[in-house]
Amino acid sequence: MSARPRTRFWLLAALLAACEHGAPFRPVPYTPDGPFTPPPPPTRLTLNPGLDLAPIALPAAGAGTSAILYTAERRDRADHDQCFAVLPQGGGAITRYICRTTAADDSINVFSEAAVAADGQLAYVRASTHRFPFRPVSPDVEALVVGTLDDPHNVRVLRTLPYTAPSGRIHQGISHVGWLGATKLVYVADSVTYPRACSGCPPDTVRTGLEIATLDLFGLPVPIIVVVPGTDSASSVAVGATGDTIYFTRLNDSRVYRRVLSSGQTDTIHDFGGGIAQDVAVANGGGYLVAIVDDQPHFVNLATGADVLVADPTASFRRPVFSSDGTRVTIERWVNGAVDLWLLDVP
Amino acid sequence: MRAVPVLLALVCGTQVAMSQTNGSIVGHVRQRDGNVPIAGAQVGLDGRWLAVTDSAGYYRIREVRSGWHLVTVRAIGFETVRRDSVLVRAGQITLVNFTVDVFTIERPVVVEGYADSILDPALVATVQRIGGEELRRFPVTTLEEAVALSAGAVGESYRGGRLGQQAFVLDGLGVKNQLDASTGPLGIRIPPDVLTEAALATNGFSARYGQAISGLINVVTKDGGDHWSGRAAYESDRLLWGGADLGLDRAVVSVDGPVGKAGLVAVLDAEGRLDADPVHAPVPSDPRDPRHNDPALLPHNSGERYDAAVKLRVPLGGSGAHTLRLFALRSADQRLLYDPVYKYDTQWAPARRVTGNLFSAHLQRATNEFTADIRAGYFTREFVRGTLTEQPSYRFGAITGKSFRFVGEDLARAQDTIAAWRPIAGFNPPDLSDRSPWGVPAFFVGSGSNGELAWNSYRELRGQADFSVGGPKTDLYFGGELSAQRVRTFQRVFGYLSVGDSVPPTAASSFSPLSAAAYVEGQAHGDDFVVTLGIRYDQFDPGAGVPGAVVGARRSINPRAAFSTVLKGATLVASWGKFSQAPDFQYLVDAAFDDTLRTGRFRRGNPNIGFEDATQYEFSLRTRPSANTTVRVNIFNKLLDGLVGSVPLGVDADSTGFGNFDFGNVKGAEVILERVFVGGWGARVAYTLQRAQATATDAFQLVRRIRIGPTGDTINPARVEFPLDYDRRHSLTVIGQGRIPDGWGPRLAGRQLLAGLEAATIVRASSGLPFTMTNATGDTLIGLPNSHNLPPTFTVDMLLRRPLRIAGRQGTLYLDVRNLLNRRNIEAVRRETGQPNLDSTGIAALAERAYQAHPEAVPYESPRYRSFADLNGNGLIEGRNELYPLFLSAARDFAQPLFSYGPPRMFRLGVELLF
Repeated sequence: MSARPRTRFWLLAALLAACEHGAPFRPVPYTPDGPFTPPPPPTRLTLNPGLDLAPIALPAAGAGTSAILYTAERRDRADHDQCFAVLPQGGGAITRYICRTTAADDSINVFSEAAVAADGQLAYVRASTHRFPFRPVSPDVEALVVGTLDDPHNVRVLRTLPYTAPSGRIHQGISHVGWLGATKLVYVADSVTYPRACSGCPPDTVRTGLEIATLDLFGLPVPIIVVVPGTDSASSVAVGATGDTIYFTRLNDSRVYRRVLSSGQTDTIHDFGGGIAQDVAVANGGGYLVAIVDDQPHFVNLATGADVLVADPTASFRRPVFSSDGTRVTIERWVNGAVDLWLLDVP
Repeated sequence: MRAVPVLLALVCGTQVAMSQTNGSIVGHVRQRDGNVPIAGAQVGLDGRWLAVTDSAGYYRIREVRSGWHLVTVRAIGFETVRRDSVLVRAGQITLVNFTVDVFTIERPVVVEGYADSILDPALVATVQRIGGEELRRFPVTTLEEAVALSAGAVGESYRGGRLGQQAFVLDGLGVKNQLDASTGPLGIRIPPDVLTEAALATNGFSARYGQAISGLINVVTKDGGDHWSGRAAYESDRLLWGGADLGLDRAVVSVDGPVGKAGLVAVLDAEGRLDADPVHAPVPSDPRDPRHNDPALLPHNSGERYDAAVKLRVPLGGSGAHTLRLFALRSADQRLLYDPVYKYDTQWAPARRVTGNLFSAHLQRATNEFTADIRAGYFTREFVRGTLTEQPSYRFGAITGKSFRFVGEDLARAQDTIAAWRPIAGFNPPDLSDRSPWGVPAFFVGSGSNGELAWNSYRELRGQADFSVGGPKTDLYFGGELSAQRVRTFQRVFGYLSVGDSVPPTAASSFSPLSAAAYVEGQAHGDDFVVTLGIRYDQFDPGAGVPGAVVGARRSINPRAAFSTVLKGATLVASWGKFSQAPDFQYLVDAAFDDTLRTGRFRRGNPNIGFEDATQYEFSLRTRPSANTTVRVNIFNKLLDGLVGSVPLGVDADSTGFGNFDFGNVKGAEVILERVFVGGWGARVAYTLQRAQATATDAFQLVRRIRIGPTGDTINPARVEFPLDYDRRHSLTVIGQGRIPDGWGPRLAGRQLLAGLEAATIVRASSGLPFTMTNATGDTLIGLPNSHNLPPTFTVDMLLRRPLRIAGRQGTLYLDVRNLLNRRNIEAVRRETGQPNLDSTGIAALAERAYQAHPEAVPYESPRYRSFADLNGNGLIEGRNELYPLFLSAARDFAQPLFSYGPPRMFRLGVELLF
């Protein structure tokens, strides 16, 4: 090929490659990218008529990528599955649902009590309940499983529920799951009952904390469950900065306890002086905590002992969780049985 | 009229070849002075002396392969005369007459050479052919498109037959997808550049050929030439803009030439299209619909195909009587398949890959009296359809250069039904999409595919022996074939769920049928008539691998006869033939299928079904009103019997089996007028009037649609014949060709831009195909099946070619335009409306049902939330006022009848270089 035709060829090729070609249509983002209520906080993150429960903060993958993961009731599904949802921390639209099941649509699938490790492992409780009439109220299948945030459905089943703990108690439920390290989980083991207010009324689910347990899954075919001594009637647990320290509350108790797992030493780090403390969370290396006392969130600076109540008598609050930078708290807000997530600034 | 004596001479003194691959050359040799016949002159073909003229000066060379040949005549005392470029076509006689002079006298030699397949009474088959060179000059791209130009063809349906009732013969070797020809492609595609010619025979084809009851596509490929030549072409629409840019790229490279004593032909044909099935559907009126601004291309609808063919012709021995031909062809065709359900989550839409390989060997011993053809072929075809493991990344246009990978493909190939009992890794459960502009949970699906995985493999090893003996007044043909087949299938639906009550079990099969055939056919010539008689024996045996097979081998005897005679200026052929074909092997085995309610319904195979049969009567009148014009009229009646149809199983309306209990007939007339390309123009007009009807139109469709009568009783329609799916009553195809002479036209910058410009136009006008109307709920037919017709269709295609010199080589610049008038042809309609669109009542009903299924409020944080629909701004889309308009818009969007429309105007701008 002489120089001139070769030049023409390359010109033609360049033209083909460079010119604007037709492309098929693509859907564009249709959802809002900010919260429903503009700043200043409190910011309402969810308006779901169903339940939005147990938020946790996800590790930020980059600037502006802070997000929370929580259990959202899918009212758009016939079976009202409760799935994990990932929501930008500052509010907006859900970016991801974690909801896959291999069961048919005639079952209710619940993904709950998530905990994400620093390395991306995701532990959670997965339950499935068929919607057959006259069936027992409890889930057909329930288990504590571990996968990864990237592939949450490819899981290892750590423990099916219920099971009999070394303490001799039957653990029917698990809540407040946290990672003590890359290979160890801690959680509150619950007793679960389903009382009915009347003979024809739908059953309620009542969880009662029994004790705190750890589960070691390192290299073992069957994970080892150990009940943490001195945690009888625990109602919540949070993991400290090192993974060797846990913070917990007890039923009908106004105090927040701290236990160092290696030494077995337990002390009271704060006493609200009245009421019932529950759902503790800590931040700033254990220097700051939030807990629910008599349904209202209290923010405590452990260094100074200052206790700030963010009161909202029209609602009840549960399950606060600090953002990864410790400046904000996402929290369940209950009003007449409806639960939504709100975002509060740490005072 | 010069043709008549030539013809009579032909009839009286020669015999003809009936082969579908080969033709024959006949003629006479005479001395110029006094027109005296020269007896004993030797006639050679391509360097081999094959025939000697008789006392009347006539000669005949039988079994000449289709293509260009050199004919030479020598006689003692006379000039040796050569006639180059004699075109022989399969099943046709080429006349080459020689007038020679005495050796010592120097005067010009006169050689006449022409063919006349119109008046030749020995040609009993109804054949319409197209040459490889013509194919390049018409606005057609593939062999299938070229054959579809024939009278009586509707796409790949011929004379009312359904898909798969045709057979394919490549260089005399039968090739057929016997597994699922009625629903799937052949698997191999013949690159047009390897073609010498292709022909469609719709009746009277030789008893040598079977396995077809609607038509026979006969393809003859090139032999490598004695000097190197080639062609490279590239065509695209990507230099165009707007809706004309449909992302098409096609490249073709072909070479042929000698390799030692052998001849080699090699072709590579590759094509990629960003939208492999473009539609000319109306633009949606809602500006929120993303197709509103980009209506041309459908997403996830790209396709690419690769066809590579190599052929080697090796002469054996020194005599030239033995030739070995080796042929290899590989085709790969992979497609993303747009599905409106996945409009907003296209990664879950299905894809398909079909690959095919053909390896064949042909050993021929040819003398003028006896010809033996021994052929062996190995044909493989693999089909897979399902969900891709990852979306393809395009390298150039729609070319990915990689083979698609499907979820569960390895499982399917291993036919592991035990492992497939569980959910198949890689499948995700589908969920109603939240990515549509309307957000609401309705119609559109995302998160996962439907979990379908379909795979099948078909392999066939075929041996074929054909012999022909030529006598003074008769020709005799006989032979047989044996093919050992291997069929494997695998089908799983709802692969994201375990097999269970609501999920039918994986359907898999593996069996090895055996088919055999033998035939004998003779043709006798009288003074002005030709009688052809043949009989063919077919059998097939599904083998022991099919559960429930008790019948064993099925056999069929198929006699064929034709009588043709010469009238004044015309030839009349009356033919009768019985044809049979084995059913698709897919009907023999079980199939899992996806019913949307997941009731676990099932389609049960019937391993004991037998042949499908056709008996055809035809009268054909052929005449030549002038030297350059021909007229053919064919009138036919084809009786169909033993057609495979669905049989209900029990009370479950959708659980069916198969049976050979349907029958029907196809009647019609074809008129073909042709004016050969002479003097710068040529034309061909084909009109077909036909009626095709049967008691079943599709083996997958239940005839006995259950209806509820006014009293609540179940009513089964009577077994009456109704129009077949491909019953196109009227079809008209007009092909025109023209060429502007060299040196003609105005000059611009020293060049005559129009000189040498060639144009070919194809105009097609057809009445609409039939369809079945139902009531609004779809459970009751309105009228009989297929008793309504689609609107007529009309298209104009055009190809403009301008020769030019490129880099010192001969080349061509061409523009191929399909559907030049951009007419919106309707190819399908909704059964309940008779229109492509659902009417407003139907759309409202769709929307209402969807709304009633999901009346729940949509919260602000939901991916389904659309701020424009939150009329009161409370962060919730709730209540009928806010929700229903979204469902209504979604219903309008979903109900768009995209594939009810034919393709839009499409361009191909191409350049080719000959070397």
